[in-house]
Amino acid sequence: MKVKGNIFIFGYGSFGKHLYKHLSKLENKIKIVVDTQMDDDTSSCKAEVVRINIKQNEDILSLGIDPKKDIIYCAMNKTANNLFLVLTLKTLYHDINIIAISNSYENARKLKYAGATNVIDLYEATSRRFVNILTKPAVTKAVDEIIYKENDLKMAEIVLPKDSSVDQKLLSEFDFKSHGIVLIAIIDKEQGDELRFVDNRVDHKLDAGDTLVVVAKEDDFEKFVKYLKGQKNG
Amino acid sequence: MYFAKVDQVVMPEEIAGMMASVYVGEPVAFEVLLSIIEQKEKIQIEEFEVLPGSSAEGKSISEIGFEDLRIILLGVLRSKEDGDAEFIFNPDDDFILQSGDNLVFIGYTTAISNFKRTMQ
Repeated sequence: MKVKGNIFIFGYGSFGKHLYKHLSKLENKIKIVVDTQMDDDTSSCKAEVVRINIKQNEDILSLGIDPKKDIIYCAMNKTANNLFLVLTLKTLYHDINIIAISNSYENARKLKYAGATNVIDLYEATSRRFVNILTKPAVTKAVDEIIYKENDLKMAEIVLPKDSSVDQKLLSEFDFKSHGIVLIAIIDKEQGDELRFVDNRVDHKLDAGDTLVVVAKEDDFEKFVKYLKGQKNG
Repeated sequence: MYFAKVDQVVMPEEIAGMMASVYVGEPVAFEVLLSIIEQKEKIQIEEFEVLPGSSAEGKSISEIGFEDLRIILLGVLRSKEDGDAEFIFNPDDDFILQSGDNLVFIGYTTAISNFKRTMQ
């Protein structure tokens, strides 16, 4: 897992607690930020807890957020608070990465509009899972294995380094399968910032800066990353 | 809930927590994850059961030619003797498909329709 900046989780209600449970497995430093107006119980929380008034810009600035590195999770139980927070954070730090939790499609739309980088719609994901359990049991099992279960299978992204082993090769020329890698999507820098699923309709030339999204076993992924870093002619 | 003999419990906060933890340092992978889970784009994750007599039965992965059909194969769900099913990720090219196997794959809706028609 790539480690960048700190993680700030705003809110320690039911959403915040579950977020912390999963995020605490990562190596990033986590700070829990609780609004002084809320009565979130943080007594069992092992992370650093900061209590501020989220409506005061000075309080938010005092957290020392680095907008270039840190990731913010807006996970307060009230959508109105999350919305207010997203707007405030985007005003204070233009390029900040904010992930907001929403409990409806309409709120997800509002949070996105307010500037959240990504919104996790709790009930969209859950209802989709309900449907899949009934109609696509194999898909449910596969998604569990790749995303939800703690095993050695993972979805991950790789930004191609300069002079990588695959530099200037066409996607069609490279055998990902022999490395235990399933390539899902690519951002081909030469063609802009658009994420494209790889479906063999369009070939792509691999260059430094391209992003590959793959599914692989942890070991194979690590080996592949090392392989990519090897010199092209080395 | 499990004591009440419920087979599966889906907790929204739990799912959100797991999804959110993927985001850290991997924003593009997260984007892909959301697209697949929420199925809001033309890209879908789908499954296909190999029925007796299907054109996929007895064929190897390489013989199917997933790439030519514009399908990204993630793996095969195969029943074990104890009745449970095992997810075999990214099976080798010489892996032979049997009746009862479930293929799990990603593709655009048109490619998926075409694939299912071809494999029937």
